[in-house]
Amino acid sequence: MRTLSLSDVPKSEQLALFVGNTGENQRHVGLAYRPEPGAPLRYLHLAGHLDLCDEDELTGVPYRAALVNAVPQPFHSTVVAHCRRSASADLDPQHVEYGLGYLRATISRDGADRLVVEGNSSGFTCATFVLAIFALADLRLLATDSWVDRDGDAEWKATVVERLSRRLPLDGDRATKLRADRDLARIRPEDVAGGATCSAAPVGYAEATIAGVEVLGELTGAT
Amino acid sequence: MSQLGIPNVVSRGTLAQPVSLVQAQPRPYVRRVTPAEGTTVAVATYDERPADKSTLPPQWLIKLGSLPPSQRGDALLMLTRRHLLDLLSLSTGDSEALGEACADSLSASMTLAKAAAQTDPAHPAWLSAFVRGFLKKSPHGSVFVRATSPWLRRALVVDIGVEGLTESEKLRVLETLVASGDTRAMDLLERSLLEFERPSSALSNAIARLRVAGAAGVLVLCRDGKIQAAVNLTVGMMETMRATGAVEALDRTLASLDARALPIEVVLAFLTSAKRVASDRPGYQKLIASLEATMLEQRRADASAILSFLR
Repeated sequence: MRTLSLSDVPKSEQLALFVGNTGENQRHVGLAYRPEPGAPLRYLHLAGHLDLCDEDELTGVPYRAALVNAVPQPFHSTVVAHCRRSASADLDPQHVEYGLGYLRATISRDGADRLVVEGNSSGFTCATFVLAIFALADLRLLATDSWVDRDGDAEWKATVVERLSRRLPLDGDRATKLRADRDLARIRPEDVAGGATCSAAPVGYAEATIAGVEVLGELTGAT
Repeated sequence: MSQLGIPNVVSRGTLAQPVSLVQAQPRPYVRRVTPAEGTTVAVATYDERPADKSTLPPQWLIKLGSLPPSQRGDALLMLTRRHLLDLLSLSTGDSEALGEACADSLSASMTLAKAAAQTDPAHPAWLSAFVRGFLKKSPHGSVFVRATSPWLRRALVVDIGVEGLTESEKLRVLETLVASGDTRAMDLLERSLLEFERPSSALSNAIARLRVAGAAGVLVLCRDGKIQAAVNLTVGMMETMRATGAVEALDRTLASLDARALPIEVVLAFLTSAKRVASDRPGYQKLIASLEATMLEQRRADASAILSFLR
């Protein structure tokens, strides 16, 4: 099994990912972390545009946990530190935008500790937000340069752009970035969760997507 | 002015002399404190909290100045236990004036601040304004900051920002925080101080001392077994140095570390935070070599996996 129940995540594990089926052709992924050793898990995830959440429980759908085997455990506490910093600095005011593009090298924090996306990226998805948190610790979870779109990804991206267009005034710079980012390959939530369970980061496309399919199967079995 | 008592307060009190009360003109809810009046503090007192503010009973003024300093804390304590919600309704401007009014009484200020924090810690703006006013006038500033709760210190330093206290007052708070060892508050204060344009040399020196203290704080936390706290402090300290372009200081910090003496999680926190800006620098390379040697001695199975992330 690639995944386990959230309640079965060992107390010794300070970091994991959580993943779940949230709708047709829609999954969701985020970070499950213990702020202190042995403390209950907290859940940091980008739920939507300007909707970063840091919660003590997850509701709605049955989520499962994926242990982060691809990154050696001594690094996990640094990732947890970044989860805590985002939980503190990036929620109020909400400023993390939803977008299709992700360029790892442009993630940093400003002087007020807020997540900053430099360059022309339009923002994050739930999946790429997880990758960004790892990137802040200079840990490359997936070899994202090797990703390609699969069946359904173009339609999914079109749906996202349409939904954002209806919700927000898409003008000028933001619209340009979103349109440009539709050309970037989609990194699916199960890619991130499955990739995390592999043996060594950065996990390549083939290995991560195969693991992601297994994760999907386990999610289907859990619902 | 007549001697008026607050029911059930004076009778429980331990004051050597009665609290002198002055009945003020009826005003809507709270009267602004005027520091020019000395230590006069205005509070609204009543047994039941009225639903309609327009029907409030007259306000009472308590002249703390009529009491010996050692008893002012008691007077405030008696009031705050019953009427703290009223004090918390003061605007931040009034709270700041209240802090200034209490400036000559450390015990009174400590009593009020601690009682407020215990009763309703969700009013950080009130407490921050109160403490800011206190620090403006009080010679006891350092002692006060050192003695208050970590929560209050953090609320204070987040709120100081670039306004409020003078630079010398901020320095005094900073040095007090360094002495107190509250590393999270130091982290926040350094960030807020670095928002100054062209900080003075005194402030720059203080920030340098903070960095040294931050590194020392990491060692203290490691010694006490608080590994995650040490990692949190490390990430914060290194992120601040990186964000402010202090790469030389960052690399010197790395050079001063011995991987044998630190938990591996903390060493990795230092290295991952520095890698993007200092991976080609001597301090970074020195610490990597120290880490490699340590992992070899410990025969760690994940040594090569760890090093692959750092090089």
